[in-house]
Amino acid sequence: MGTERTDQMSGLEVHGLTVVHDSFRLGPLDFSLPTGQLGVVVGPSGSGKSTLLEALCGLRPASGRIVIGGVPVHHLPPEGRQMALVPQDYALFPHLSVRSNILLAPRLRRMWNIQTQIRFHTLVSLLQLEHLLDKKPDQLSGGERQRVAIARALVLAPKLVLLDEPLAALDPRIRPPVRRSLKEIFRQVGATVLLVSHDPADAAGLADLVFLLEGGRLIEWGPWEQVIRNPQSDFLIEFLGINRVRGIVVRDGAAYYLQVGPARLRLPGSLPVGSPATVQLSPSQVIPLVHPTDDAVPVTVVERLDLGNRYQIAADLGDGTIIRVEGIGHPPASVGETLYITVSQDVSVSVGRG
Amino acid sequence: MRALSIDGKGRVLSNRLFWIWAGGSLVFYTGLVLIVAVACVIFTGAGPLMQQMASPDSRLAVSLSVRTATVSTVVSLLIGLPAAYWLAHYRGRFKALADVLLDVPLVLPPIAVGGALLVFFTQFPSRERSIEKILQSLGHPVIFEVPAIIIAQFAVISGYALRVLKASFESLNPRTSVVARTLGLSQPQTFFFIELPQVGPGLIAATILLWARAMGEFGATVVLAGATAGKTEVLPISIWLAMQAVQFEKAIAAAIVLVVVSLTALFLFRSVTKLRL
Repeated sequence: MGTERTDQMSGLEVHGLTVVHDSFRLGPLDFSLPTGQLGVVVGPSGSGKSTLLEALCGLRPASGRIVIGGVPVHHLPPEGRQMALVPQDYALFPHLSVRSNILLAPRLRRMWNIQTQIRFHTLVSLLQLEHLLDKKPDQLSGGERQRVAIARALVLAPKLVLLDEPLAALDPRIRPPVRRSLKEIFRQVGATVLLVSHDPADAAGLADLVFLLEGGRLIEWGPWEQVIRNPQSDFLIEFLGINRVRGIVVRDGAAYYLQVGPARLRLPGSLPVGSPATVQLSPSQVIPLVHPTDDAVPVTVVERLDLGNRYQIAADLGDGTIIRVEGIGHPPASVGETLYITVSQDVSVSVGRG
Repeated sequence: MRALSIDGKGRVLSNRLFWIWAGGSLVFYTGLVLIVAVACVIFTGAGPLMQQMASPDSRLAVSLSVRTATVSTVVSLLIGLPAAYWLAHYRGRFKALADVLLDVPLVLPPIAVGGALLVFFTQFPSRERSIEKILQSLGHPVIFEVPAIIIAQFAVISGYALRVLKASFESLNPRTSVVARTLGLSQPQTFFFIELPQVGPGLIAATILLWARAMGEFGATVVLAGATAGKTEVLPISIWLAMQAVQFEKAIAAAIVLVVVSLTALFLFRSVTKLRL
């Protein structure tokens, strides 16, 4: 019972994991992922995501502790760690049929017992592989290959499944349905999964826990809602489409403004006059107006995306600072035209050089 | 529009010229081979050719050639496979050194390889207590005997074996091996069940190349095994002996026998392995 409880608590625990490779340094990383949960490590390319996966499965020398289901594994070779890896290109064994791809490891390891057989049949039906079992990998589509790779990874019930950019090789159009089915499959199997991706949409759509990795360091981790509440990472800010406007605080009567080149954005509250400040505003916090008002700032439209019943606009504040605006209906101005904007008064302002 | 159509015509013309150039080169080369072959057959005459093919000497040479080439090819593959695997995966600082050492048999003329081996067997560690002397005392002399043919062929072809097999292993997707390891397969299991089956085509290509090269090996063989008619007389040695005796018809007949036997064997090997794959 005792060990079961530990299992429940920690699918994966990482303490002080550090990898040094040439000039790149990953870590020290400390995080944990509860059993049965799906963690998404998200970060820009070069942030150390693949290095983290390689270190976890023992393919790269690393220092620190890796504990899986309560058992330390960092001193074990890859085959002893009870992890299964699904690489970005899926790396199916090209000379074997789908069936043999999935069953090679159970057979060679003499684990072709009744439990594995039941699991094999469950996975085949769950991943809809019945009609593919006798085909070779080169006869499969990208999505089919992915499903075979996942079945191969899950058939021996590993304690941790690692997926490297599972959606990157797929046609962007089929990513959302594949994302939904992945989540459902892992939920049904009850697997503990750590997935790395450069696409924050995977974190938003799949993750129980999000690990934000940048420059080899874990910037933040927690549920998606928590990670995006006050994003500090440029990578995440860009994905969320958040405007980050830097300027100087000025005062005019009782009102405070952010002076950005020739433009003045009205800010909420009282702020230290003359200090640099950064305003983060989501596109919906920028209110576009066709006609000027007292506090409205004129901007020049540089990009206009008509999405039918909604629109996205990028506009220049006058000094090259681009601000993104979103709204319902038709775009109020065309490229080159002037638009007036005001800022919603619930924006967050940080004083200092952000 | 006009400029465009001229450009289009020009492009069609240049495309056509490219294929004429490529095809012409092929026709030139195959034509050359064919003309030389026809010239040889005409020179020898069909009668003497058949006679030569059917002669007991020739059959002995064919049999010896096929047997020695097959043995040396199999031995080269057995040693070359694991060595090439190691070379393809080794990332240490001696990699460059190992690569250069392995190129030595490739750049050395076979006759020099034969000379080097002769020195090794008869003068090492000393003339009085050489390896050949020890082998002789054990009743298994090597020099000027059949085993010398196999050693000479092996020395010449094993460099090719390593090169071809190393390239095959390097062309594999390394992630298939990584996945196999994480699935719990040991290193030998990964090698025999994942990597070796994937280099199948490379292995077949290597076998063809090595066997053909061993069949035609002359330089190292003549030095190490000598040119004793009926004893160490493989087909290239037959050609050499006939030429020494100024019997050009016989020499060319032996060469044609060598080509026919080799091509037939390679054709059969290709058909069999294609069925298997």
